Amino acid sequence: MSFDLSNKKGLTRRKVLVGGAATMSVLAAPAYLRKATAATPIKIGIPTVITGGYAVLGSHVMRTAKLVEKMRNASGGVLGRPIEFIYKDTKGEPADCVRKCQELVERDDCRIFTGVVVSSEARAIMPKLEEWDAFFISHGNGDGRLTAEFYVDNFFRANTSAPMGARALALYLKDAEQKNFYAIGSDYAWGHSSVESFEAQITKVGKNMSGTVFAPVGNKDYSTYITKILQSGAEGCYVALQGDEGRAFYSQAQQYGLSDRVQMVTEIVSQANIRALGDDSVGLVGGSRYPFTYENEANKNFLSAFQAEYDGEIPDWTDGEMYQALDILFKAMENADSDETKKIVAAMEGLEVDSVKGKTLMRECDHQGENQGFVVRVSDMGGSEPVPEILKIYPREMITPDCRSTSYSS
Amino acid sequence: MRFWLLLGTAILFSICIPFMVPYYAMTIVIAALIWGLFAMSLDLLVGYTRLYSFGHVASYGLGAYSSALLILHFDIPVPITIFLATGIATLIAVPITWICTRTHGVSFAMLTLAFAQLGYAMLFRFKEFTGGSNGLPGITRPAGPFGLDFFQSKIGYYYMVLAFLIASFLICRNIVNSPFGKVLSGIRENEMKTQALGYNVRNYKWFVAIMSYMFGSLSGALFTPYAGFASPELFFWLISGTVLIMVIVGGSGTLIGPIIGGIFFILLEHELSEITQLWPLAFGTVFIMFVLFFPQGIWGIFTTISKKSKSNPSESGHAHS
Repeated sequence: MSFDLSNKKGLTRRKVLVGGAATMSVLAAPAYLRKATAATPIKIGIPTVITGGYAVLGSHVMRTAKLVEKMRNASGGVLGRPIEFIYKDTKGEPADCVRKCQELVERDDCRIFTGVVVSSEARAIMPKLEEWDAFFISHGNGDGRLTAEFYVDNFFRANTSAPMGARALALYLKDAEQKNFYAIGSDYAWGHSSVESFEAQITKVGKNMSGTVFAPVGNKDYSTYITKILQSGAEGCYVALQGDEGRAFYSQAQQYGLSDRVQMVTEIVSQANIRALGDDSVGLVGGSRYPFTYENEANKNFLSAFQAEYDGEIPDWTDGEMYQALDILFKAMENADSDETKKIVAAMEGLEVDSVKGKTLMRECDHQGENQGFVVRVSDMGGSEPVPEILKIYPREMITPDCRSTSYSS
Repeated sequence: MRFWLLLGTAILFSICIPFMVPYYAMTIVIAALIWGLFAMSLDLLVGYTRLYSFGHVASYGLGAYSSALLILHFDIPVPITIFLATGIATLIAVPITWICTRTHGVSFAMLTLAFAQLGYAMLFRFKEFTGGSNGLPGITRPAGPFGLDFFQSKIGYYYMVLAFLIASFLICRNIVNSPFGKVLSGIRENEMKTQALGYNVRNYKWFVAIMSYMFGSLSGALFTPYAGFASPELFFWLISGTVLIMVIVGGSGTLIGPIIGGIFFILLEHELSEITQLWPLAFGTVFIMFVLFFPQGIWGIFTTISKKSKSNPSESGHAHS
């Protein structure tokens, strides 16, 4: 079989060109349509700590984001569009965080942020949100002032803040036998906020503070601080240290016998710290921003998906908080039927969600999420590692501070 | 003549950068220029006087916090802020460098480090003033003087940083090429001999240390209005190590080399962190490669190639024919 292209009744150059153009149009049209609608991913920026002292928290943020991306996209995405997370390493430094966020806005046209680990990083980007027309939902930034004196319209906090964690713990310790407490915190926004809140709350319930001390960010040697605590005669020690700092402190406290003489209490009981300490962590009492042992439908679903994805690993508090923040974000976007900042803000104000920690209300007055307060004790429940056992759950109304405030009028 | 031709080409190229790269990329380009200036300031000490400062971050931090506080409290136009902040930081550097240059070698390195750490600790001690660990957020680029608002924009700020970098480079070049600079080279090669020739070595070292701190402060002063934030990390000793690496990678004792080293370092870090989460590992490998195989740095490689092609004109001509 042969084709004669010179035959004018057959294929001419004009016909070939017209046919080619028509074919291209058919092929290009769906691509164009796809670009405009369904296939355009919703970009969410994760400027988090990938390298540095808080990298373990950043790694939890990323693993949960990856899980959520997989789950969501498998079930049709959000607003019928796939979601795409863009990860940036901020090293836990505020100036780097600002630069990375700016890049997300200008290069990637990404105007939704979450996963910021350090409160001072959050504090650095918040004044820029309006200029960037960007939305930022905190998954774990604890500094109470972010929804109080530093409030901005485009920022929401889904997680339990430092004053909320300290409040739950203080309420629990009201009936404890310890009378005198010493507090040690990391010398940055969250550490200060946590210790100051605890101090205010614990004195309110009739206990005494023997002293407070702040260790520099990234500190490795806590021997002088431990000596101070031992000499203070305190019966309880409140710890506001996370990441590498927390693990270094707890293991040195064990070596110096501090844990045997003083009841350690902490704002956040972290599974990473429990794992590092092993059986030595048993007995540690503290607040929990997300106890994976909490029983409700949302948490059951999250837990099974997480453990299936990560070989039965126990999710840490950062995982739970990150999952909750993303869940709330997507619900707000669906209610707003948009991924535009202003519409998300409007939809999120007053939004109530059945989260992995129970019902959470994103209150309108300061954009703080009202969460239940959990107090846990690390126990050996016969598993591969000790786990936080829930001792008490406080209703969210008791735990959330006054509007745009870090304190409680009641 | 060749120098001015090269410089003119480099300036022309730099002026065209905003038209050649996407807008978002200007953020990292500005950071690269600021770090280039910072690295060049250290080269006056390391490359020309063999004074290894492990606390050069103090100059950067002083400049950064000075400009941050000036803007936050007085809202002074950004170009004036830069000059004032550099001046304030340089004044603070005068007694610090006087003490540091009383010593030699390791003692000098340790003293500079001690002063930098002192500054870092003071940020936390006077937190009402410095913001402590929270830093100082919300730093803008105030308009003016004379209603000039060009420097408020990112592109405008880029040109301002570029102008400061070029001016600083020319001043430093004049310093190192002057009789004063020749004495510095003498100190670098043989301090005892230079002293025996009748030069007051201490004063020379003190003056060059002040100059070095001044340009370091200038880079810090440029940083905060660019980043919109000042945090204690700007005073942290690790930055002293980073900038020393920039000088070595770029080629110490050349002025232009450390500028290239600073730009190279920032752009490489940025690109690597986009590709892999293990970027510090890849970065470390690059540094080791430079130390082992190219100890003369990037600028050294460039000049070696340039000299070779000059000394073999027939070969290169043949190759082109």
